[in-house]
Amino acid sequence: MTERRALGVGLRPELYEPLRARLSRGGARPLVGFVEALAENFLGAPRALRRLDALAALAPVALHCVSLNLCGADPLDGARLAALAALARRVRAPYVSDHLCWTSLGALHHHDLLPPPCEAALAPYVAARARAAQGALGVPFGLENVSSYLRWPPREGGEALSEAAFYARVVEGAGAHYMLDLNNLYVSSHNLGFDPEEVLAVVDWGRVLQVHVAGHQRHPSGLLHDTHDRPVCDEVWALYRAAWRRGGPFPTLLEWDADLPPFEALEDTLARAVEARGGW
Amino acid sequence: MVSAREGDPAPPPWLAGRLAALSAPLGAPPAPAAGRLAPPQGWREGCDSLLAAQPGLRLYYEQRWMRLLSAAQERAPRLARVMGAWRFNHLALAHLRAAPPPAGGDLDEASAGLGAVARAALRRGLWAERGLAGEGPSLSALLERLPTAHVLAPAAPDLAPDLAPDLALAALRGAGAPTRLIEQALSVDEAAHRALAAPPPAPWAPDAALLARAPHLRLRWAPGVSLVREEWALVEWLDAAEGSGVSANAPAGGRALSEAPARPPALGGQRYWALSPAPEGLRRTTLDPLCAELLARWRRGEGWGEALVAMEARLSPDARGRWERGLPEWVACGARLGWWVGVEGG
Repeated sequence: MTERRALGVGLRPELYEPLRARLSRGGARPLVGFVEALAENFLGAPRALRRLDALAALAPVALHCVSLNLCGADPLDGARLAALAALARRVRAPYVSDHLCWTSLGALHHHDLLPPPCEAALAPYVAARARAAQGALGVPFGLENVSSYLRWPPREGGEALSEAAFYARVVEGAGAHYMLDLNNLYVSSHNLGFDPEEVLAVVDWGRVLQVHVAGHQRHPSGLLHDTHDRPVCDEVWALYRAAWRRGGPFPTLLEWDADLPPFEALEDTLARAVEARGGW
Repeated sequence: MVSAREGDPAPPPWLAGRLAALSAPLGAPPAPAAGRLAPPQGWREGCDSLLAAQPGLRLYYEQRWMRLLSAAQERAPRLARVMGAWRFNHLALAHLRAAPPPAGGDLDEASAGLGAVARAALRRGLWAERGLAGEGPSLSALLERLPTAHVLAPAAPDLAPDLAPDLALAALRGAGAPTRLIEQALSVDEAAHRALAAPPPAPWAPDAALLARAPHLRLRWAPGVSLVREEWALVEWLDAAEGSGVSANAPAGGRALSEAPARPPALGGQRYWALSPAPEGLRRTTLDPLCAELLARWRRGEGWGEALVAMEARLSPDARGRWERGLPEWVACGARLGWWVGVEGG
């Protein structure tokens, strides 16, 4: 199991070697204590899987998914869930997560994490699917809040929920866990105009598997755009401090997926997380 | 209600309709436009007006299509550089129009078939633009007949944006590259992708008894092994590009790929390679021309003796003797390189 104060990074191909070097060094505890791998990249990819096996021998590997389509209208993909469960067993993943989103409809895959309409009537459906996913995966299953760039208009006869209330209803209804992404929370709160503390207030911190931090950009439209290619901004660090005060300790993961800086810069960012929470 | 999978309930009856209102505009292929992703006219028709009015819809739209185009650039990095970013994107859009990606989440799969679209357009361009009618010969036959041909660039491109072949042809014309360079860049990209996608071969070491029968063996090729010929230094081109910070793994947005077409160094002759899967990724082995021809003949199913007879005019008696004596070691070497994994019927 991942240690509650552990720090981790999202695995990118460029990070295998620096991670392997640091994790196999022995002696003093490395700053990076776990990694999170995008699970779909390792399905049917024997070469990548062997490299993941090597890392899993050195540190816990959490699996993060992008394709379960939990808020979608199509049936869950049982074969995909079985493949993910096998991968989780193989690398001894302490937990698996996916997003509170939909990704495809019928034959059209969007390759994106699209926000669901946050309606009371949708929450039990999504919760039941998340419960089924957790059962199939055989390990604790976390749901991540996504970055949103648009607001669903109200549906006639529907009961709209806040993002916070919808998130909590689904996680608790599923008996699942939170994978709380503070960058996504900040981006969505800016784009949709809500107070991010609303979400921190409803989270059951005992059910938080992990917290994500990352960077974003400002889109020409004025929207904040979740790009994972920039340093973590001050506002997200402020949310991190607030989250730690409310519910720490929890494992903390840095996602940096594009325009990667030298590995030392990632370690500096993790060190800043330690500083933000007032020490190790 | 529970659907086929235990625990997976039926969705609320309104859900698919609501999601479709967002899904449909995001799925509309962009209109051709230089340097940017432009949704087609009327793309938001049918979308709830409150959704359609939000800038986030355009952001999701651009993100979806840029991911698909970036995946195509990653799958065909040499062709993308030869064409330049946006001309390549238009070629990829032509492919995506002709063959919408499957519903699976694998972005790489969305680009499968891009080569077929490009080759069909090249062949059509070479054939039709020279005023020739009918079906005509294959692309490779045309390239042999017209070795220095370019896909011709008209003064005013006449785009028919709904016709994928026209879009592909216009994109290829715009690259201004020799057709053989375009075709070879595509071939090397496809060969590299096949090698990287194939599992590393299981080790196979033929024993002495088997090697003694080398002239009579029908070797079983490992999946993902390709033979390529190049007249420009395409195979090694990206090594230099990666060293200069231009990565084959362009991030979403395609920022790492230049707008301007680039040219690999011309070799002034032909060079041959075997590209094969290896535990560490891609193995590249240079081949002399006779060796490449022999391997190509083996791949086509010719036997050793049959191939030597066909190549006899270019082999001196001495050279032929050396080949015959060296064959067992040659077979063993290919096995060490992972080119073959056994013998047919054995």
